[in-house]
Amino acid sequence: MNTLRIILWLILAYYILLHLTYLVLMALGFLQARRYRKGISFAEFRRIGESSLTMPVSLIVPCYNEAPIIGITIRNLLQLHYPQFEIIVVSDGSTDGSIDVLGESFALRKIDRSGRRLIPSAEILAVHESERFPNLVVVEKTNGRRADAINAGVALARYPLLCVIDADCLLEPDTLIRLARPFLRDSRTAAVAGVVRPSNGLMLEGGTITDRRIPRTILGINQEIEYARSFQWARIGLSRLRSMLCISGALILIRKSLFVELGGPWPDAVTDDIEFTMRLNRKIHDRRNRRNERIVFAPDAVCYTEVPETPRLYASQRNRWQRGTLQAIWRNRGMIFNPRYGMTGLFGMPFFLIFEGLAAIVELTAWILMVVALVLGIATGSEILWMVFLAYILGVFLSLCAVLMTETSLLRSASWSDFWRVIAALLIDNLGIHQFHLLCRVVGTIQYLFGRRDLGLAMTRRDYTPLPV
Amino acid sequence: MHLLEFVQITATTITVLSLLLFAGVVIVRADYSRRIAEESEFRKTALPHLCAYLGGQEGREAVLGILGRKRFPALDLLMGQSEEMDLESRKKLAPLYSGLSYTQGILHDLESHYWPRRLKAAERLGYLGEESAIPSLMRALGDDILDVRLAAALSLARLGCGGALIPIIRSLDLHGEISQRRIAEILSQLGEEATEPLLKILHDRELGPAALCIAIRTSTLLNLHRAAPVIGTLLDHTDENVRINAVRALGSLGEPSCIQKITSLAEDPSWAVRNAVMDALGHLNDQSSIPMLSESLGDPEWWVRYHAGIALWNLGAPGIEALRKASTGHVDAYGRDMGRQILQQNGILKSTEVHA
Repeated sequence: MNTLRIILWLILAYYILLHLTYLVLMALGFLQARRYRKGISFAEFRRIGESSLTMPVSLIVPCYNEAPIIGITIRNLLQLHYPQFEIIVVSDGSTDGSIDVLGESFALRKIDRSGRRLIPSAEILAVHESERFPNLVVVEKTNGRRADAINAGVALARYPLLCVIDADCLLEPDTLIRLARPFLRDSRTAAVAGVVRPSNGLMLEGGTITDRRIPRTILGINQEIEYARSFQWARIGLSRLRSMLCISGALILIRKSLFVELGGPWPDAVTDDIEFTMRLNRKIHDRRNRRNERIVFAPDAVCYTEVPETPRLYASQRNRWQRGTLQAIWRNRGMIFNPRYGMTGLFGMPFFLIFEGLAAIVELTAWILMVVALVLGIATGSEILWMVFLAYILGVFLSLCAVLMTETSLLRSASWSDFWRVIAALLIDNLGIHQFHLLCRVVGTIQYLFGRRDLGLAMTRRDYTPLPV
Repeated sequence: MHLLEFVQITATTITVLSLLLFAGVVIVRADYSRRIAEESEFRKTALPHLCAYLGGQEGREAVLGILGRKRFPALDLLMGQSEEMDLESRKKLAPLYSGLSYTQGILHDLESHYWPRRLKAAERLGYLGEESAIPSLMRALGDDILDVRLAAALSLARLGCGGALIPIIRSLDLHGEISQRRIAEILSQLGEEATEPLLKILHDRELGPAALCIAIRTSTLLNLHRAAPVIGTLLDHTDENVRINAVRALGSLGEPSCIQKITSLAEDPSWAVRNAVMDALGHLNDQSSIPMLSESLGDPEWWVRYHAGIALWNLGAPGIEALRKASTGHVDAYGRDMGRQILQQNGILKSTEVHA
């Protein structure tokens, strides 16, 4: 009986520590973002945009059956404010006519272009270039996975910086300039990550973002808060502590030489972005390598990605993320509590393992134990209710902190109605959605242990009306 | 402490904190919305008057009356407008800056202990066009924070202070290609004012390699042909980066008198120097270098081979002929391959495969 109570105490301590750690990370992230904003000089981005020293960028867009959205994405990318860039779309064996869509929209013609195969990948079938946009190249290859498509794209990339973005992503016009800034300021910059936000509420006109609303569904708004809390503020804090072990595959700018040196993302990874980021950290933070490099977070470089708004797709995505996280941690387990990797080994990896990889299992255990304690009469109904309330209010508090920070930044909600929707969503998040998320992750953990490594369901995309170029 | 007691205290405390936080969020949002609306309104009101003033349809006093209502948003507005204007038109803004009496306050900010304030002050002084700010900006070149030093350098360049070139180079003696290019770009804003100090600094043998690299890069950006002879003397400098920059500069400046000296570096132990040599010869369009470029198609380093091939291509028909010969008869297999690759890339040879 006493043992059960001790376990309940331990779980309570874990829960409070988890939220406290996130709070500290978010506060650190807030301070870091503030310092970043203060350090931007007047008209700096304009100067970067006009400067001859701004390094050219190769944008690689892996795509698999993205016909409904790929045209919009490319139009959006073609409008980026950046002195010199090329777009390499890699169709990874698409069977939905993505190539035809691109061909019609951008007047593609087949060319005889080759490049150094720096990283092995599946066979490239054809290379097309646009007659209208000289900086657009489309590669057709046999199906691999997202990572394989990226690795194939690298062969045709001509520029020293690589920016990998997903086929459903939309960028603000100056995102690339903001991502490139750290490379111009500090030669030790190895990679730069940006902010990822849900795109479901955006309004578009010919690839240009005209209005930045939040998603309409509860699940969508919930992810809006989650992205702000975990993928924005906490991640800036983690980058301050050299522990940013998950850069979203939706947006990363990295030196091509380093990307090639790492052998690109691992094609068999369930979530290649998490695994790649861990390997990147491993490479640059290993003291034996004597590399004085850093990964930077640019809090004003914004990318919008489509988030699932149906429970089925949401469950599939979170299940995959959980399996991917566990796979990446297992593959890089040598870094955990290893002082050779400095803060990354002593804080980042343990944090990722304890508060990301195992969080779902611990929380599920807590729920089960609470029921057992109630049935066995070890805890009273009142005690259990108070514990559930504590879990709820901790989540609300953390989300409110994220909203406060967001409201003081450039990413504040567009209108009062959006703001109140966010507040309402954060109040009901812990009344079902969070538990559903927990269940998806627990299932993901179990399936990972039983060897499931597939990518789950494909996203169904938002219906954009195609517009002429 | 009992479990229930602990949970109750913690949950109650966090509930109270959450309520306070919620109130804080609403207040912050309301305040931000108000400030943004006010600034937007101010810009909407002030901009037409400013445009009318610049077009000569409105007097200085009338515009100052409007801008004076919000002095610092007005300064940002003026600075933004200045970015859109050419050097000559910017002078029209000077009476507005002086009328709003910013200088003293900003000079005071330059002494602040808070570095973002010093940074803002350093960049603002460049827009005000007040020569009285030059001594303070020169002092700011010694600031602990690099961003402040860079902002001061940019402001001095904006003010056309040629005398600041040497102090800027000394204070921003930074290593790393991008940093040096960044400083060179700032210094190039000095225009002709920079000529004499640059020539002086290029002759200074006491100067460190980073400073020399910056001076060479600035000369290139300013297309300073007068600097070519002295840059030519730096081709045999002991530092690799100085040699690379000197070769690149001579290639960009199109200085034919240095071709022989540049060619002599084709066997430099550093591949980066050899690479720069090939690149420069490609710009200089000198047909006498064809034999050397053909030979370099077999260099052990890919980039050198590639740039040798590109240089040959740039030389036109004789270079293409040399590439054809190399593609079949070069003594080195890599040389033959590179010859083929350049010809294929430019559509002279048909490639048999889609990818390598």
